[in-house]
Amino acid sequence: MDKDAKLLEVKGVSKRFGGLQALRDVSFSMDEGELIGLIGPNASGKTTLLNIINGYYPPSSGTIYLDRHRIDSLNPNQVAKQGVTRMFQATRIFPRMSVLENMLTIAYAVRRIPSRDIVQKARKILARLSLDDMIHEDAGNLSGGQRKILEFGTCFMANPKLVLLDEPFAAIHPELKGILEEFMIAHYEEGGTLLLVSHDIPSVVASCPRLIVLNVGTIIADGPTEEVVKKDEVAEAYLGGIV
Amino acid sequence: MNTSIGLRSYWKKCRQVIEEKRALDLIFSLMSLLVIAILPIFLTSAYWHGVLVVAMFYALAAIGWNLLGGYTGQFSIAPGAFCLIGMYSSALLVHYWDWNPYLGIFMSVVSTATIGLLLGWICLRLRGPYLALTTIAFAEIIRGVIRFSYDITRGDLGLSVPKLYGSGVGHLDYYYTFLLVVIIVQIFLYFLIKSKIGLYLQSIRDDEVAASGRGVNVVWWKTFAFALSSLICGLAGGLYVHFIGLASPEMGLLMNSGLIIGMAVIGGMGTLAGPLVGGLILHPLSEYVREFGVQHMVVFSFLIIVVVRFWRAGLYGSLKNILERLIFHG
Repeated sequence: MDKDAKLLEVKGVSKRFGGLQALRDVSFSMDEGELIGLIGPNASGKTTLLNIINGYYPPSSGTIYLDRHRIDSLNPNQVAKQGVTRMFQATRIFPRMSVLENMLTIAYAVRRIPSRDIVQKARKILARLSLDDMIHEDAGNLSGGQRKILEFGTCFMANPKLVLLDEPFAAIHPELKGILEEFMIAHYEEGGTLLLVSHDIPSVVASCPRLIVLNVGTIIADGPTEEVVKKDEVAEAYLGGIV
Repeated sequence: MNTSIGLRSYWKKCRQVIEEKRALDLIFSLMSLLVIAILPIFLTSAYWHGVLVVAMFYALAAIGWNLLGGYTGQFSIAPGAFCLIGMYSSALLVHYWDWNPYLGIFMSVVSTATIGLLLGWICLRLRGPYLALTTIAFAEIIRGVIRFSYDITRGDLGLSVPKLYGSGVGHLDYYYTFLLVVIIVQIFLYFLIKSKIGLYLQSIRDDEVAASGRGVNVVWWKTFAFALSSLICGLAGGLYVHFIGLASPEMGLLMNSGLIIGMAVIGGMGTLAGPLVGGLILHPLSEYVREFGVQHMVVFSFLIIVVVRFWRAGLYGSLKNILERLIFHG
């Protein structure tokens, strides 16, 4: 494999919804084993960018490569099969299916791990996320925070190449947030690749070595976190002086 | 002491089996069908045997619809139309070309699966009222074509077809034929729903967007559900036409689709046993009240309102919830 090949390459991606320019010539790349924080004010285009990477929206222009395979014209299920998993900002689980079934569905559908290992892997992840005693419970009976954790857990079920996390820490108890952070960091340390979108700036700064800042659909900063947060326009406009 | 330990370990094993969510569904379904199997020992009236055959026909159609509406979340209002297609597929082949009725029933299955696949493809991007209206329109087109193709179908007069077991035979042969088919379909669906295909279908029902993001090929599995659901309704129609000996466009009336869907809803949508319970209870009940001069549709409609208001999960669905609470939470 080409040593310089990136895991994810987003090249000149723009997205227009009627008269609204949501993304403008966005380009960046990710190496395997990177954890990148993607921040920006509301309506800056963060979720739109994830939706395009994930295959929910086709870009108006530009291309996206995953492991040198072009994915910008694929459907979400095809992108998932390529190894991209996604946690949504508004929790999306299958409420009438059990916790275990929620975990199994993605693993069977993307076919990235042998079938015989799937149930064991699901149990292991659920145990690490403290959901193992609710394995047969309908997901609809879980609390809001537990649902979020379940959706988070599904992202790691099928040896993902890239995990897209959209606001995983929003509106959950600090204890549950700690579980998610710990899991996310462990996955990163094991060589996993993650793109984290969050308004929880202290968490993003603490956990992500690299930061990308979006504003009005344009990348205004991209680099090591400690350098990006020192930029005046970023610190003042988006971080509110927290760092 | 030993007996008590033995019972406890037996109960633990039972719980482990039932813990697999749908095992309770299959156990209840098979127990209900066992009751139906031994019922003729006590119920000797040929009339009631006939009523139960028709009940099993409706139950089979409701089971077919439930796969699409209950498990996949696609609210089609055309189960009656697929029963109608199943009836006429076999009826025309047997009537005009002297096909063997068994081969005719096989063709009912093939034709309804094919047309279901086509309808599924047309309805791919439709949801809610748009999907419901499209399926109503489809059902009316099918019924209209059959009614007005008088030269071929004899329109409202209906097309007479030979019975499966010949004339002058009691209803018991049909009774056990329908029973066997329902048992096979229920066992097949049990394994289908607990397989990964079942997971895909249910994930589409719960959240199509999330399902697609988690690798489920929504287009393919929705079309599959349409085809398989139509196939089961077609099988029910094909069997039914060779029981009553007459194919009539009346089966395609919206009222019949409403009856089939109502049975699934009253029994418990999205459960294996629900539509079976709905069909087996409601049709005999409506026949029973007919004896007292009561319009069976009035009773049926009243029941729908009561169940939807007080037991959203349906009769079996509510019972299942109670049983699960008793078994798993003491």
